[in-house]
Amino acid sequence: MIVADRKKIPEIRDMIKNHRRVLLVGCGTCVTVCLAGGEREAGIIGSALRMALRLQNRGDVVVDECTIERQCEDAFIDLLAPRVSDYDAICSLGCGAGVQALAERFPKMPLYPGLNTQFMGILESQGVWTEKCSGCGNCRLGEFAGICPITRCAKRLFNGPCGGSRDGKCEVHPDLGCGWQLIYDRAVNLGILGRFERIVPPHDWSTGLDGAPRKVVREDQCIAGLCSRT
Amino acid sequence: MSPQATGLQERIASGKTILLAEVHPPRGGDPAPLREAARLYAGKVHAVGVSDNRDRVAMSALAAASLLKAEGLEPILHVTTRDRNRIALVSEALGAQALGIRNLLCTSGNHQTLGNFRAARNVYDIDAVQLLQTYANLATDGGLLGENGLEGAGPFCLGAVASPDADPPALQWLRLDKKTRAGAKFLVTQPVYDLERFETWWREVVSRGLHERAAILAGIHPLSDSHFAHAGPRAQQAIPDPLAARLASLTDPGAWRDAAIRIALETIHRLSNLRGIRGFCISADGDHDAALQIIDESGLASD
Repeated sequence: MIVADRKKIPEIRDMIKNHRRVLLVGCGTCVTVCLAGGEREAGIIGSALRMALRLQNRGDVVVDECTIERQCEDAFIDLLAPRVSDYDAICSLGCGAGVQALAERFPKMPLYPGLNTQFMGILESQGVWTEKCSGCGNCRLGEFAGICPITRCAKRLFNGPCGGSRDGKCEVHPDLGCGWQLIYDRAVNLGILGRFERIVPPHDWSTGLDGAPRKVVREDQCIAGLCSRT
Repeated sequence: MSPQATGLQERIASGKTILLAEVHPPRGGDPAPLREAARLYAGKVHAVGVSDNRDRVAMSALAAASLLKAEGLEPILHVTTRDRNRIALVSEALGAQALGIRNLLCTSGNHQTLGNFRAARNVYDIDAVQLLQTYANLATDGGLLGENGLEGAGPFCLGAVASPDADPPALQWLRLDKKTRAGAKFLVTQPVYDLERFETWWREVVSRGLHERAAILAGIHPLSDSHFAHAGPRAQQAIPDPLAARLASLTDPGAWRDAAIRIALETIHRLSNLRGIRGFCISADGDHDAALQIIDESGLASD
């Protein structure tokens, strides 16, 4: 899922404090699961913002909350449309895709992010999420024993660990596991260590963000003549 | 030997001991410190490594290497994959060749968050193995740029870094083996402090025959008090406890420096006994006097 983290209340307060009526929009999908921007968090952040604004003598700013199922899809955003005209700004608690989907849907409405979108990852343990995928558009997990060297190695090395790997940890951060140690552990379990003798050639980054913002088009899913939204 | 062999290449081929020093380019645009370093190391070492923005911003390593060469030293240009993509890396090598610099040490470099560049973006388009292979093949396949061979590119005398203290050992061996297969003719180890661990590592080097495929030089780095103080717990892991205790008991900076130089000399003395080791690379974080004292007292001064 997409993992996000809440921005600090003063930062959100300062973004919205010059508006009169602000709609705080939660999202019921990924950011609900990672406890950052769902209905519950929208309520908590809304209350905190009202308090923070009052403390700065801006208690006149109205902050209301609502949550839609998915901010990244027009069908769900449509449900929001009737309410939006009552406000002069939206603060989205969706991921960056959600914020931008709202911005595209409401071209004249100022949009502010309430979250810092972090990564595609998993719940590692209660309250801890970790990054697993960089969305490079050219998945090579099959070559690397199911551990991604692009995402899990701080230097994105394809030909083995650097000199900063020690006792299973990466030198960049003491609690960060070395991605190549993880690859090694699984390769040993799978009996495929010999595979790593091959010199892996340079990666083609053009399928990722380096190749410019991307689009996925499924011709078989498109309505004839309407393949492109733009 | 190719008529185009570099001085370092000739030294490697000679089978004699190789002594290198390391110069960090100045943190400014004044070339004077480089001229001073060139004067100090002239005739003392066979070549001088020039670091590439190792943990702080400094003068371009290529410019510094070129200035050192003009002063009569044989430079080894360090090239890290941290700050440049494959386009800039190839361009750098061609520029180096044009300036008469063909010893290139390929490394991924220190991660930028460990230096003073926390907010900087890194590149890591290709890794050190891929960089070695790119440089080795510039003349034939255009260095993996999707071009044909680049006219008049290379040959280079390529080197890389070896990490005796790093894990997991099985993959470190594979990586080192790849570096030599990709074209590394010399390998410089990370600074050696744990002699027993290094000797264990060396036995494996010999049994794998790696010392016959590349000249392996041990990194010697006298531990300055500031370096020791600023090394995080992870970097300090490479320093064995008795050594750390020996230094930590010294409160006077002068006594510390003397002890660090002694330890470096003891390290050189002990490692010189290892069969097949080709030499040393002395780096003293800009304390040239310490490096020169080690070079002089070790008896390794350049012949």
